[in-house]
Amino acid sequence: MEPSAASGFITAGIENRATEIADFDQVLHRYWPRILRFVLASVHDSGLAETLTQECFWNAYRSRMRFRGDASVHTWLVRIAANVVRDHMRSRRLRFWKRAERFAVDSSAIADFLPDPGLTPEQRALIHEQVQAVWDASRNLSARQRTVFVLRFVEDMEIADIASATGLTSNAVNVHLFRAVRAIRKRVGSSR
Amino acid sequence: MSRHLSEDQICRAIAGQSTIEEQRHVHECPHCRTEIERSWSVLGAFRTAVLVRAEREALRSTPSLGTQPEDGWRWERALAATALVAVVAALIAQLPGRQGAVLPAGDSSVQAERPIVVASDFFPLAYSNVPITDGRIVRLEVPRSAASAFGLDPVDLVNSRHHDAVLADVVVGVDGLARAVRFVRPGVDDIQKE
Repeated sequence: MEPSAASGFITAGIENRATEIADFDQVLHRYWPRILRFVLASVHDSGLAETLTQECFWNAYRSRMRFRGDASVHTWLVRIAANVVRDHMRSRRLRFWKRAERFAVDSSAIADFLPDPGLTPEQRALIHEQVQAVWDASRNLSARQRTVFVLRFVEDMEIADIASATGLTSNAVNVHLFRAVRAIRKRVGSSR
Repeated sequence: MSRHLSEDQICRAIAGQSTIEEQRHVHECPHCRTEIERSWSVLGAFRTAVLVRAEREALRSTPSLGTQPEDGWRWERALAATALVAVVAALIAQLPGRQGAVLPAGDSSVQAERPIVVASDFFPLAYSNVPITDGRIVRLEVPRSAASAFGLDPVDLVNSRHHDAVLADVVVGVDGLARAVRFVRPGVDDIQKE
């Protein structure tokens, strides 16, 4: 039986991904900002995010020969990054960081990075307060809830891709996402 | 559905998990629609803030071959060590007078003369994906930093003759390209003899 056009297309896609991974320097430069963004939103610390992103790409580089191309390079890297973040959350070293973080002053409030599209001072103050509340609330989510929340609302990934990147089922992703949204709204406050 | 959505239903709507009936209600009820759109608006602003901050961090931190972060870009260091090992291995492989230092794969005669303890698995090098038909294992001394670049503690590998070097076995193809490296250390008896 001859391969169908669809299977040929899928095979071509896998080959393209495998080819893409061959030039790892290009992969590094192409995906570094996106992975750093995911890690930063997960750990809320610029220095730590940079270190963990380096670790993610180092792990990816070492395991690149095992990349088969059945997921996109981005999804594959997110999977590695999520594991790196999770491992650090569990490690003794990070428990120290978590303890230290409680006493640390966040010198770079996330709301300071909002562009200013001609809002009135009152509107700007309100949106800054709400964005900062989301940022703070996401710190207190469980690791899985935070990962799923960041992938959905920061990375704008589809549920199926989040499931692929986290190793969860789509149902589990939906449950974690729902709980995360509920926790965030509780912190930010509804208008009711 | 005549009453407004519950808080859980609003959360499901924000997460994109509403039932068809709930979606219909949102479409018809300005109160619930406003509540959901308000949350989407906050989450959108949150996303924008994270994107802007991450973009600035990325511009500052994206590693390149020309720059190195403060605490070192380990991948680059590994590649640097790899390149170093490959170049040295290729040079040694081309020196006719140094054939005694070249160990054919599986040859144990020289190892018997000088007991060696294998200290790591083989690590793939930059040319590990280039097909190899024939090759040999070259044992050579490399700087301690090469071991560090592969995450090994050079103290465990130190060669008693030269404390600034460690021993490594490099798999070199007939094309002179290094495919893999493992680290070894002299056996206890060997150190005592020296």
